[in-house]
Amino acid sequence: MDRAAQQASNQSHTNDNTNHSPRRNLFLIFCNFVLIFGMVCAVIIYSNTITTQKNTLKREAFCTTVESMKQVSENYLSTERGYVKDWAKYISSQHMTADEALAYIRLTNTQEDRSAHLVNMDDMSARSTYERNDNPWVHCYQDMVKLDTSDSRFFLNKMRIMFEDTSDKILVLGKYRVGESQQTVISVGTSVTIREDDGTDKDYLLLRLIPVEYLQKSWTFPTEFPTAEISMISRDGGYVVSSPSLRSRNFLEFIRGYNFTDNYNQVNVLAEQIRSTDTGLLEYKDSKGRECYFYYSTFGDDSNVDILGYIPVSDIQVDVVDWSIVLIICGTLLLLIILDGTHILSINHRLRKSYIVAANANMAKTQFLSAMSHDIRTPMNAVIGMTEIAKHHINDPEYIKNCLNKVSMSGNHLLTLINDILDISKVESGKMALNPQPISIQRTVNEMSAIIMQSAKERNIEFKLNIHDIAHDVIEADALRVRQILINLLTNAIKYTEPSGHVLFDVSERSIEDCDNRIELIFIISDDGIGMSEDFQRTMYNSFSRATDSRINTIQGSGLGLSIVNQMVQLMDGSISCNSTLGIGTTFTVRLAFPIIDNATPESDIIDTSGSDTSNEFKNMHILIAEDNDLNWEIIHILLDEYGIISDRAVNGEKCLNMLESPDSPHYDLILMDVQMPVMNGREATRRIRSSHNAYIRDIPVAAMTADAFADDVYACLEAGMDAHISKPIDMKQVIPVLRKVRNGTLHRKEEN
Amino acid sequence: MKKMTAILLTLITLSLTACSSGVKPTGKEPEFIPKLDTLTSTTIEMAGFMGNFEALDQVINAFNEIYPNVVFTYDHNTAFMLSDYLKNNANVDIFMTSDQNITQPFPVEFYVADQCLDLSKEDIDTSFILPDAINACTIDGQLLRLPIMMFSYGMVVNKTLLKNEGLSMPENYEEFISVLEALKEKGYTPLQGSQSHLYGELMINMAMNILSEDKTLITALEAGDEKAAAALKPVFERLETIINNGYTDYELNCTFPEDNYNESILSFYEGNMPFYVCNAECVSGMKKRESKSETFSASPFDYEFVYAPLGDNGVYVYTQPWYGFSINKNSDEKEMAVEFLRFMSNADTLDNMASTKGLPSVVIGGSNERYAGITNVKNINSQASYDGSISNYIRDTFIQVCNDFGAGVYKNSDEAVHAFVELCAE
Repeated sequence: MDRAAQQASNQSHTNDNTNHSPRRNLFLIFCNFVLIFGMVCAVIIYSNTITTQKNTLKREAFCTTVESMKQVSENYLSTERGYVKDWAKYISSQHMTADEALAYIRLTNTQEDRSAHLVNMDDMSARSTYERNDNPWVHCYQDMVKLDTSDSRFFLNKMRIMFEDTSDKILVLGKYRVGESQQTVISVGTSVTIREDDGTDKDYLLLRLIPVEYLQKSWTFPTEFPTAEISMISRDGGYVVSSPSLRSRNFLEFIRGYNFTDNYNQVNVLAEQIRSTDTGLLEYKDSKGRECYFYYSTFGDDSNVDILGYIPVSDIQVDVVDWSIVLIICGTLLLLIILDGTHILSINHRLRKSYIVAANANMAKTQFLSAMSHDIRTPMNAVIGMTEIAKHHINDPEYIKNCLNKVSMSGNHLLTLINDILDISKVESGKMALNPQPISIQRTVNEMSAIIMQSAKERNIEFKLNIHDIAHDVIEADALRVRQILINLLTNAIKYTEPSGHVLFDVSERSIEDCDNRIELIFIISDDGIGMSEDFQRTMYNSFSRATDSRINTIQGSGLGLSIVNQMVQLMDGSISCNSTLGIGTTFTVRLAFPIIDNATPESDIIDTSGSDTSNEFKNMHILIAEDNDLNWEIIHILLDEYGIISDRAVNGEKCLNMLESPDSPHYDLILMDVQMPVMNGREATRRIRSSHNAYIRDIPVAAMTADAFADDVYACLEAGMDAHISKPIDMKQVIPVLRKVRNGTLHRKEEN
Repeated sequence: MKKMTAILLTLITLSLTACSSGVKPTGKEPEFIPKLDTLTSTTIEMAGFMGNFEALDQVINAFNEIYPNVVFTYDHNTAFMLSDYLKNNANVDIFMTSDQNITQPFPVEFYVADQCLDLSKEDIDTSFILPDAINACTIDGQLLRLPIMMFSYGMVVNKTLLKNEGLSMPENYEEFISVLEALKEKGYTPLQGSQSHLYGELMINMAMNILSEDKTLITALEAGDEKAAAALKPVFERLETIINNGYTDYELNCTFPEDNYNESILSFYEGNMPFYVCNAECVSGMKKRESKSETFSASPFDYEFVYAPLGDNGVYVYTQPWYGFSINKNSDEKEMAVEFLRFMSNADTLDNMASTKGLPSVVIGGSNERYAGITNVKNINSQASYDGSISNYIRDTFIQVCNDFGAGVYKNSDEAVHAFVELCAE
């Protein structure tokens, strides 16, 4: 798959993700809502089950309570009947007349409001202990006879049963109204024997009257049912005692009025139910439209009276579901979904961005590898090709020299490429540190110009240096990096200018306001070369950026130069700007600020291997070289030999240690240590050297000489105890300063070369 | 999150509070402003004879929305022997009273005027109540009871039957006799109702109008003056015509119950009774009994309560207050009792009560569609309302004499009217 296809595939994949994402999100949201809904449903179903069970228990408790109220009432009525039976027993035993009996009851009755009636069952005439206008006669029973309704007949029949009953059954008469006393009462009674005027005995019905309000007051519901009420009804639905909420003339009218407004006769079914059953739980609406429970229970088959408990259903319903809590939980879950959803969407968004960045990085890596492959193969092609050609002209020294020059040039280009990569790697990993030293502006610029001048001349380009307004010549700067910036820009200018073109190198100084100890140097490199398109200018500082102009594709370059320049400028807190027009030319302006140094002599920071005489400088130095590769050993051995340096070889780290520790070991001035070696690698060997008990061994200078040239590799070597790092391929320009420091005794550990 | 929860809880609380608070004013009803502590906890004992208790229930329930801790107990009694009732039930705070309980001290067992609080001195608005109703409840300048509904005598006409027989609603005496005759010829007994109600309640509106138009007749009546007999003679003559022409059947009327209520209404719903002579109390129980009658449920018909058209030019309109509520001036809960009547004394409330109870409204301009037949009368011969000047005794005696006339106690109208005058003079 070519790169375009790969890109298209990646884009397509990204688009697929983008298209599916909303649908997946909707599905996720839907699932969340379904879960919430399911949870709420489960809560409701569970709660309803519990509620039903609890309500059933509560309802049963209510019915039980009403039954206990009935028991209380029965006990009360039983006590009342006890009074009347005691009276009857005494009156009968004393053969009292009616007047005497009433007088006796008035005398012994401590509860005056509970009068007694003495009823002649023959004519239903009755006398009361309550006298109105000194008249004891009451007519309510005779009125019953006159009424002659089914109710009154039932009432009178019950009087008869009560009159004849000798059991302990509680029979209740009423409720009925005594007109003379204007009281509504119920009564309990028993037969009593009264002595008539003619001296004969006659049985009467002695009744003890209980005002209904007293009965009502004897009922007190437990606090569990604060709104419950108790009434007593006759089996035809009439109120014996009506509680506050039960109004209307009678219970059936009450139920009909609020429940059967459209069907008057429906109440007859209820009437029949109450008449024919001993207990029952009814559910009807009350006057406020509330569903209520009505529990009735008879006092006994013959009593004709039922106790009736009343309570609104809502008052005994246990609402297990606290809807406000459910609402809050649902709201919270919803909020969580929104928050989490937003968070997840945000993460997804970031992941998508990361994916795009990673994809771009991957693409960049592919591009990098592609560019590297191209950029390495090109000089390699020259090296291999020229070497092959040289072989074919082995007898022609001049031809061979020409070939070797080209091989050397291509090798140097390859090395530059690798060094550039190393620099980029250092900068990007943040491990590049500046090494400021006093330098001369004039001298540095002149040296740069001298180098470039040669190239310009070769290409028939007019190069002009214009250095002016330099008030402070010596500054503190990393000469290597400054040179790297300038050489890159100048090389580019020469490279991209056609023959007969012009390149101008303008250097000037500018003072910095409110800062006396720093100056700003302005480097302007302008050419009238091919220029750059605006599109390219936008990406020119990126690594491996090169204008894809067909006119320059013959020009060698790593595509890293401008990137390095830019990063170096940033590292020095400077600025770089570019003004370029396609076909017109390019002007780069670099502004860098440096501290000025007065009265200081700039250090010669140019490693000049040709300028000084090194032929005898290192003569008789003895160096141990730990190198497993025979070819590398041969190269370094020959190169050192040219300087009169004696070198021994150790094929790995362990051998190196053995040779050092050998009693026959000569005195070595330096160890050049390869890193990647069999048996024992260079770092491990160095660590052992540094931990040796032998001071000579422990303190011997060790310099890495390795193809591991990345910043991490340098750091690892120094960390292992090495004193310097020389990267392969071996360049004596790198080796000589190290040798010189060894000779001077100034090679310090962890100094990076 | 806490803020969100707090907001949520606040919203829930506010919505719940909004749902549960306050008494919603209905229609034109002004908002009732409580005068007492609404959390007062007490019991108001009421006694009376509200047959249809739903009317009072709705007021109590509405009052309980403002005063939730006020409990009402209710004891059914009658207007008879109310004095004795109060003696034995001294705790009663509010009791229902009729004219006879406050207008005259005889019989003493009925008379309770001395125990009634003067409501005119309390902050109870009665401005929207019919002035005659207020006058009828005001004795010696004291408003002794709050009239809550009105009461009328008349008859319920089976409109469908008349229509089916090709007859239209009579609008004066002549047409009335004509329709009665036509119905009789078709085999109907036109006027039906309990013998203890029909004759007196059919004629009372005419008699009350004659006496109201000339108040000297009342004095003359009480004096046994012939002038009164002459003035009231036409009433008895028209009754005589109805009786003698067989427009009503005494024997049949005797089959109706004494109270002319439940069974009478069901008889009317059988569908072959052209005119059911009764009063508004009976009408109040009719609507709910429609479903009680299988015949009516199967074949419903149109009916309406109207005044009997006994005047030459139309009907005699006569209304009187129904029972009212009085407050026991010895009540321990007098303030809350007054507060309850103050709450009740409201145009909308009294209109609704009348509508629920099924009686004419006591409110000026009040409406009750059940009584459209007596509130939208086309031809009025004359109209009067009870203002207390005609005693209950005269009214009750008139009804009794008429019923006796129907029972054959008197041979003719002359004998009946003289008997009436003599009884009034006693």
